[in-house]
Amino acid sequence: MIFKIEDVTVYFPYDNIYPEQYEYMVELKRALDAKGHCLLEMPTGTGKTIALLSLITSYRLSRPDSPIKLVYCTRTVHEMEKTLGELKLLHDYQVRHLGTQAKILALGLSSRKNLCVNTKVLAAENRDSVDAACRKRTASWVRALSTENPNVELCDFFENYEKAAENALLPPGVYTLEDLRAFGKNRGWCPYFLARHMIQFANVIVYSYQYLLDPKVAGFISKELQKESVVVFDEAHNIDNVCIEALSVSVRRVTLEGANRNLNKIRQEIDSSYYIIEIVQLVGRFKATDAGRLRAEYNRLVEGLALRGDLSGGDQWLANPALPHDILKEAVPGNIRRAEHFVHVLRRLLQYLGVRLDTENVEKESPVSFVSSLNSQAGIEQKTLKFCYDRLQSLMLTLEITDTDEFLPIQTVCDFATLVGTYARGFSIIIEPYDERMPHIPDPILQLSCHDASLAIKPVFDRFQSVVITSGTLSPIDLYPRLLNFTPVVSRSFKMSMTRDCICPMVLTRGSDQLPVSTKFDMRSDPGVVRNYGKLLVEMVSIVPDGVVCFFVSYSYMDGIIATWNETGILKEIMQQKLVFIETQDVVETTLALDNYRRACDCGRGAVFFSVARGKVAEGIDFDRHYGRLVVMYGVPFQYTLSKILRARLEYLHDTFQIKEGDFLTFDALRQAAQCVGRVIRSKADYGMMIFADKRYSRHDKRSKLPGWILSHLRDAHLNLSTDMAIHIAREFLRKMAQPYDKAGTMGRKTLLTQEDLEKMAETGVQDMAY
Amino acid sequence: MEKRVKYKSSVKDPGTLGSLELSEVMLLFVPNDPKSDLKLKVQTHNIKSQKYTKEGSNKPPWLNLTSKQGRCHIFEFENYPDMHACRDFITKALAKCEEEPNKLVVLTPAEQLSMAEFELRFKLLRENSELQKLHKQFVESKVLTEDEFWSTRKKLLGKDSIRKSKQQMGLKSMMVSGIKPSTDGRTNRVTFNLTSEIIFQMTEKDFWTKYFRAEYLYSTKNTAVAAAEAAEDEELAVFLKPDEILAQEARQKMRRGDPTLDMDADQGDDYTHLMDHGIQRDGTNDIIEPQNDQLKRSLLQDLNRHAAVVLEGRCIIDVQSEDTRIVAEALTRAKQVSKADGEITKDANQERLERMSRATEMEDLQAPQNFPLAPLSIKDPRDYFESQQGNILSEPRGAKASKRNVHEAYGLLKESILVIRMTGLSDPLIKPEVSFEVFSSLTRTISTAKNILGKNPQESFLDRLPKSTKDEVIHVGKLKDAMSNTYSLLDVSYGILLQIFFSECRVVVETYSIWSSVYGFRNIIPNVNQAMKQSVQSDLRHQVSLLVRPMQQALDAAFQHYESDLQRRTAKIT
Repeated sequence: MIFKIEDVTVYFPYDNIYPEQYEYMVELKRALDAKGHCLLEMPTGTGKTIALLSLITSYRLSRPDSPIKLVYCTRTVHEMEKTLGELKLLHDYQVRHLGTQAKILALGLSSRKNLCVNTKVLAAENRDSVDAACRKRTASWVRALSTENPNVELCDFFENYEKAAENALLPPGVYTLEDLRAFGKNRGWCPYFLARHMIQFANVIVYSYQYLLDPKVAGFISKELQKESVVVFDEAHNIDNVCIEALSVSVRRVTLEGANRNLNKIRQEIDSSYYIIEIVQLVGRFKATDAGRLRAEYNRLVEGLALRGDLSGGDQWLANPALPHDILKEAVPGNIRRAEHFVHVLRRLLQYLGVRLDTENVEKESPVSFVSSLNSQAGIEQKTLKFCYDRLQSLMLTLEITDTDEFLPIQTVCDFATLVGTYARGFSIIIEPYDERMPHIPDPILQLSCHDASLAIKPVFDRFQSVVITSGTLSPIDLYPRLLNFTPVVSRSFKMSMTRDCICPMVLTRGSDQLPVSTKFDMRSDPGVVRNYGKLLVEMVSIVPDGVVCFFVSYSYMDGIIATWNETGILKEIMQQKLVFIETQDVVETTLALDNYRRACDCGRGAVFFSVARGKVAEGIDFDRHYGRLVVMYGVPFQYTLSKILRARLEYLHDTFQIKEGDFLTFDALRQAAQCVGRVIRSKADYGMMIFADKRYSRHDKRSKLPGWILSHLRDAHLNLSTDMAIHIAREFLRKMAQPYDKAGTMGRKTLLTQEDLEKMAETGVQDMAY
Repeated sequence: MEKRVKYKSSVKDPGTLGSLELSEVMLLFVPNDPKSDLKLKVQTHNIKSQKYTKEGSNKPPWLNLTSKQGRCHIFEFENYPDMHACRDFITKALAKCEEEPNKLVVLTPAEQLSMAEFELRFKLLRENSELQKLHKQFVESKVLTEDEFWSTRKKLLGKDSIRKSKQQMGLKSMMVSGIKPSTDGRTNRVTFNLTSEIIFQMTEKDFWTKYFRAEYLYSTKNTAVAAAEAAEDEELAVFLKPDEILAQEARQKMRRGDPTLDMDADQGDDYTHLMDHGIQRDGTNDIIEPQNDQLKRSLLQDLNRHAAVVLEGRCIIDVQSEDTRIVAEALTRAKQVSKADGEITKDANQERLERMSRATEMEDLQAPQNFPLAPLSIKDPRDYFESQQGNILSEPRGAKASKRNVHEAYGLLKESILVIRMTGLSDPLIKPEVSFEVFSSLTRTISTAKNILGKNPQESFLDRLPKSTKDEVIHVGKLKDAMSNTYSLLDVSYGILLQIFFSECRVVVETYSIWSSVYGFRNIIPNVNQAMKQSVQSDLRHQVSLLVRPMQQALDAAFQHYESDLQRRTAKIT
């Protein structure tokens, strides 16, 4: 359908639209008009993504003189694929109605591992070895060498891409990763480099959060994006955690050992460079040698880091946008300009870190005091530290090191040094001799943990015109601007207009024996609770068709409870009704389990999926339609409150933002729970039940933190249920949902708007919307 | 199998040296001394029981077979392994003998009726009085044989005997760990470890012992012991090590899987997964126990793998064999086939994309696709029927041309009657396509005819038909009108069939011109029977009557309904 929102003609690829989608677009348009940031919470299953995409692309079409660019950030690669899928649908629709002028270039961007088409490179096990294998074939010096030595292996795809030079362009269209690979294979061009190159021309870019938030990546990928861009963070309820993770580093014993080995190797390389120059001098012939390169590097460093850009086109390393701009123009401190001096500094740093790791007690320190003690004991200045990461990258480039994956430990240490040297506040250093959950295993770790989410996201807010933060769960919505330190021009939470009560949340407080159930620390290992939890599931799987999903508070808890169920025969009872699949820490296995789970639901066998709140599955996999008719949240997914890092963060939040500890913990737990149960519904035609199985959910202070769209369906009668009552309600609900219903909504409440409805509304004003 | 033995007719008999030949059907003892007439043949199915001396006792290895006739045969073997081998062989042969009689029945149900089938027939007759009547009439009066009678009613005899389900066989979701040690190795779990190399290297028994030993070691979770045992025994180590075949398969499946589920792709799209990046110990990340220990396998992994195997089902093995080796080989073959299928990724890709696009669309925001069918909701069957006729009328003329006209439909029907004449009755009396064709064309003709008749009797559609057909059509129109109330396609097609029969026999049109009355029709049928007895060849007779009878019943029901309906209507009007 095509309709107008004020002066923008919106092209929406469906015949009908939900009223909340329309409202969402209206708000979004206001934010774009005001060129400001916005915060929008809309329930899952109301078509957020398509509403957002269709407004922004339509907005672009209505302003042909100043076209905006859309940068869409997703949490995971599969969400990226899904978003591009929806964009494809939309694009087809727009091109059908507008012709070629609506054509855009949209592409997904991912790491080499997901984009490479060279089978030899792909044979590498993980991401870093793929990266290294790629560099081994594409680095400029390798290619230069190959002109002399034909035995040097290159990548044909990259060579072809380079040969095509300016002509290597993607025709307009929407490209998922799969499409990019297919295109690359077809043309013989490297899809990874092609995609990277096309970023500057693309109208829509879809990639991971990290590409904007992580300074190590953002520098070289997102550097060239214009200010007139709209940045969208989808499923952004965890954005604060992503931000602090991006700036946190830790160092272990193995890291130090690996770093030492790396330094030895670097040292060797440097020595051999000088050795070569001696031989060359002996022979008496002049040649641009390795030593010459080192000297050239020295000169460059004198001039300052900002010139690094000229270093060598394709081989740009990671830059750090977190560094203030003036530092980039500063010259690298004299004491690390020479390669061997830099290596000495790193050696001293490693030694110091090694000593610090040898502690028997937990130590907590601020970056300032850490830097000063580092200065007094190892003689390394703060400014030196700050440049470590870039100096290392420069050195590795100069030494023409391609096995980058082998040099990860030293990179980690330098990353740590740079962060600790750059930020004086918002961080703390915590040294723990062991994990307090397993005190018998010594595993010393030095962690630099970031507490302030606003640090990582600040450059994004500063650089781009509009940043949209949106998710199904952003309650309480006023907390996010404080955590991320920005002022949104629009901040709204939308309700869901229901055609029928298609979600049925319940709070289960008691088991079938009327004893309370909870995952509270003192109760979680109680056999009665475990049994009651098991019985609940046994009963449920026998009445709920197709898919059932269960979320547990942690892996270890899930592990324990499943083992107990296995021993007591509960698991067997469950398996009589449905197949059982489980999320494990192995992603490949989990992916296969999910795939099988879906197949089991498709073929009618029915299945149960056991998963973990805060896990990978909870974050990104939908259990819509028959893939999830019931989701059970076992317990309240609180964070591990004894964790030193969490303590430090809570303290910081309290001191800086006056956010109370308990409030934050509850907020965090409940947003995770809401996220888990929200996976169950995708559209209004869908339906599903949600069981919060913990007595603590019946307390008002906990429950009230759930998003409004769940709360509005949580009836008072469903707040304090036992297993048998829940079963009864579930039966009734499923029976009700099986009845035919009117999609357009009944009793004067319109839940599905047609073109005419919208036109009518445009005349009378939005306020009259009948829901 | 051949073994050297001493044969003794009793315990005290010193025995005759000779060789014992074993086959599945019988045992044959041939003495070494060709002059001796002590040749012995024992049919396997005659063996009642076997006894043998225990290893370690002082007695020599004896095997004592008791036949069903009560005779004893004692064989003394040279050593114990020989004896055990023979014993096992005989046990197997005996087991087979027991199974065979059952199998016979299943394979040739036509010749030999099982008790169950008789019971089923009996039950059907008891429950269905009409059927009983028919049965009495035809079978007991020797018009039909028992088999002929039932062969036309196969449907009633349950579907299982007719068509063998091609659906995948499901597996019970029971885990191998649930099996007690005392049971043998035939479990529900098909392990992927069954590679041909392993199987050829090991004997069956060894295989399962080792497998269960490995399982046991896993279950004890004592990795030290497991490691020690694996070091000693290479073959055992195969089971204990993480499965390379599995890993390979996993990689392959990942490539074919749904990209929207591919969480592996996420790994490596950010830096937090890297060692030492991101937050390590804030409690969100669980304690990961040292993973380098290959010999440990978690229950969770087991459960996942188990469910995957169950889901895969047993369909791939259509070998009905008890021999695990054959099963294993079939499994490997089937796997290879499916792998080869996997190579043709285009189709799979297409399907993947389709699945994705289906997942991205929002179903309730758009008009339903692909399904132009209206939901069937019949409140008043008459409305339903009439609305259908209305639809046909409103169709454009061009559309009509594409459909077969009445003549063609009749032609089809006549053809199938001819076929019936030639070959006798088959299970569906008339092919469903044909009856549908006839039915729909009739519906169309009649409604058009009625409509036109009502408006303009002079230019009736009927006039354009040959006279005989016209009569039929008029009649069928009335007939079907009545039929519509029974809203049963089957009965209507019976009616039409009958109608055709009559026209075929030229009985109806010539003899009974009083067909104008619908009510009269009922009374005609007995006469028809009579007429047929005179005019129809005798070999066709029972077939016709076979048709007429259910037809008559259907008509009775229909008329009853029609009358009551008519009464109701008139009552309404008044």
